[in-house]
Amino acid sequence: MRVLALSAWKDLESCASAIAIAPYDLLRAPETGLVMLRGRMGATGAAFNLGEATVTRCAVRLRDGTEGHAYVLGRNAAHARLAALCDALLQGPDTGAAVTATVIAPLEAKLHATHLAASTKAAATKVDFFTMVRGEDD
Amino acid sequence: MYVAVKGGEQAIDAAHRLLEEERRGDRSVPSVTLEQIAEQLTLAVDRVMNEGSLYDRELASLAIKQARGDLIEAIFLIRATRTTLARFGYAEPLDTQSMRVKRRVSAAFKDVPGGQILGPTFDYTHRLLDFALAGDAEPAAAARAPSALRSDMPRVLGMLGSEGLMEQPPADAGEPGDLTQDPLNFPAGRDLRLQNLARSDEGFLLALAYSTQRGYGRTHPFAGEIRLGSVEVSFTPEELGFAVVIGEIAVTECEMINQFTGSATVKPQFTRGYGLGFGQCERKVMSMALVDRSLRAGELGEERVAPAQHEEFVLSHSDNVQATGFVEHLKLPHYVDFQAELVLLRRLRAEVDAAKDRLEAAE
Amino acid sequence: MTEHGFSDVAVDSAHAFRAIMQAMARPGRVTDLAVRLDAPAPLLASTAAVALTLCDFQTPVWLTPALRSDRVMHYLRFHAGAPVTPEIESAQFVFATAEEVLPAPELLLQGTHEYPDRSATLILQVTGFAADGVRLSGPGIRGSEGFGVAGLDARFWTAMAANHACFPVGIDVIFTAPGQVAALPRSTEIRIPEAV
Repeated sequence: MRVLALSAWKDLESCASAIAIAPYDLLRAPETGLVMLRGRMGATGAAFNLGEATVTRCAVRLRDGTEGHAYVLGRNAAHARLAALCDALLQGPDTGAAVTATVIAPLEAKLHATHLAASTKAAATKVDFFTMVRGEDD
Repeated sequence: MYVAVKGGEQAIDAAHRLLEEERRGDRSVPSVTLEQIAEQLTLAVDRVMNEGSLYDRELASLAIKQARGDLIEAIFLIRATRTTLARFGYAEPLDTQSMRVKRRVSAAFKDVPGGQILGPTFDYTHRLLDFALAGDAEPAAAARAPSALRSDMPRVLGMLGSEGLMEQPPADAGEPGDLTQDPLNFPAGRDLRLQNLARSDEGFLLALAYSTQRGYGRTHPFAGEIRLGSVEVSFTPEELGFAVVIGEIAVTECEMINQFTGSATVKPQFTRGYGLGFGQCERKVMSMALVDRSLRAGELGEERVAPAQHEEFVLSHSDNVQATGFVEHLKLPHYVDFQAELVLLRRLRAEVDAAKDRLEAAE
Repeated sequence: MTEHGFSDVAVDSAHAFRAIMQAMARPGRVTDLAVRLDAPAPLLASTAAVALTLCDFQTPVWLTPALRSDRVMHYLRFHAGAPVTPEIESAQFVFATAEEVLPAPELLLQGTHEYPDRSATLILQVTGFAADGVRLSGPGIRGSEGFGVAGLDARFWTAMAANHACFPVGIDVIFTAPGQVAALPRSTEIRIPEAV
């Protein structure tokens, strides 16, 4: 669920286009609401309410009764729906392996590459201190 | 007194149409897209998300477009939108320790483990207008280091804590208060104060923070650590019963180190102020951390002598939607109110004249 | 296996809310509550509609033994996000059926004189209503009206009369029957005929 939620919609959409969509029911049609986000005082202390974020949830049921759930930040109904479907398919022994290979693994690789690129850009701005020696001792 | 005033419906309709036309501006100029606002006016979007208290870049961009760039109006729109959405619950507290860092600096230690990472900052720019931007000039791509940053960036204040030089943050004390659910009462706990400050007007917080530096409730601050980056959001849906990652958001965090002279029972040690906000909002979270620390005056046995130390003053006037509502309502019809004032004033003046006449007649 | 909730949450819950509000505004008047949703037995569709309309993650729910099945609990958690609590005194909504021994109203959250709204609502699932029974009067009722509920005896009405005596604190009751809903807020006075 983590990879499905963190991935960009266009990446999820292009990976998922490769999987066979099994027939399914919408147990809960995509619905947008809010979650209240929290921080901690001094980063590690007691919690406080920071502010809300939009989130869209969806739940599906495959014909064999398997249920899939998704909660995804933002208001993209299609993203939540596809994530819920993938969540359901991931639970099946055969479909699970297929979705892992065609959707989850490439998305995970893409996420890793995105994070790595951002991190190397930040790392390039790291300060290399050097000490300037002023005057002579003798 | 408020009295319903009827009429003006056509005028209001026409005013709104005129507003729409003015918002659009010259129709020969392409209309600004939400993607353009979200991608290029990033920090305006961050401010609207913070003070609108709703993390949604697309909605904030739409609000900015609709409000013609008036950020307080955009914040108002976001607050109004928020009330139309059902809340699914409370997320797990953000773990800023595992932030994917984009910027991280400490003003307290030069050689801080993990390093000083400047990130995308306006600091050290010369504040000279770049006339190349008036055209379509594309900037060079960002530089890249051969390797990534360490993923476990140590906390500067944590390092001081191990020596006992730094107070420990308060331990978890159950469910924090939520001022969107219950009205704010005084005295307010630090949880409610931080929630209020997180959605406070940046200008108001900045001015208060500045006042503490200029001597109105001095706290001797050092920016212990400032971090900008992305954190994952975890949420436990009732029907699943376990936490799931539902996405990630950008946040800025500031941990301020402040002096504390100690008391009869506590040895001198550093105290802390905390700031956290959505997106890139360094000025906001630094101000928040300073005001958070000032508002702890009572808890730390400091005399409350300055505005930034008075929680009722700070928390009651920090919300710009409330403030603008009350200030701007003065322009709405107060015809009957004013008539009453006029009548009263005329009568008082007549009484003064009459008294003067009587005095003159008596002489 | 999760049953379906409202097919259009915004519209269906607004209709259900309207019906519940009408029922509350006119105590003892039976109001239609036609909803299409699958509810796990023994929950009636109307009971489920009330639950999905009024309950959310901030309203702990308590269920009588007849309703306390895994499927019902999962349904309420999934569709309403409502936590099911084992402690009746912390529940904001208490669900019961008329066939069971009902929890005494005074065990439920009563609210306080400062915040009378911090009280529990009893959702009582019944088989039907009758025109005769007790006589109700008070806010929302012109004069007085007869009201009867299948399967409820004098003990229930005596307890509810005692509940009314505590006004403004006390509980409110929503009765759900197939396709119908009625309400008995704490503000309603109850006169029990000798032969109920």
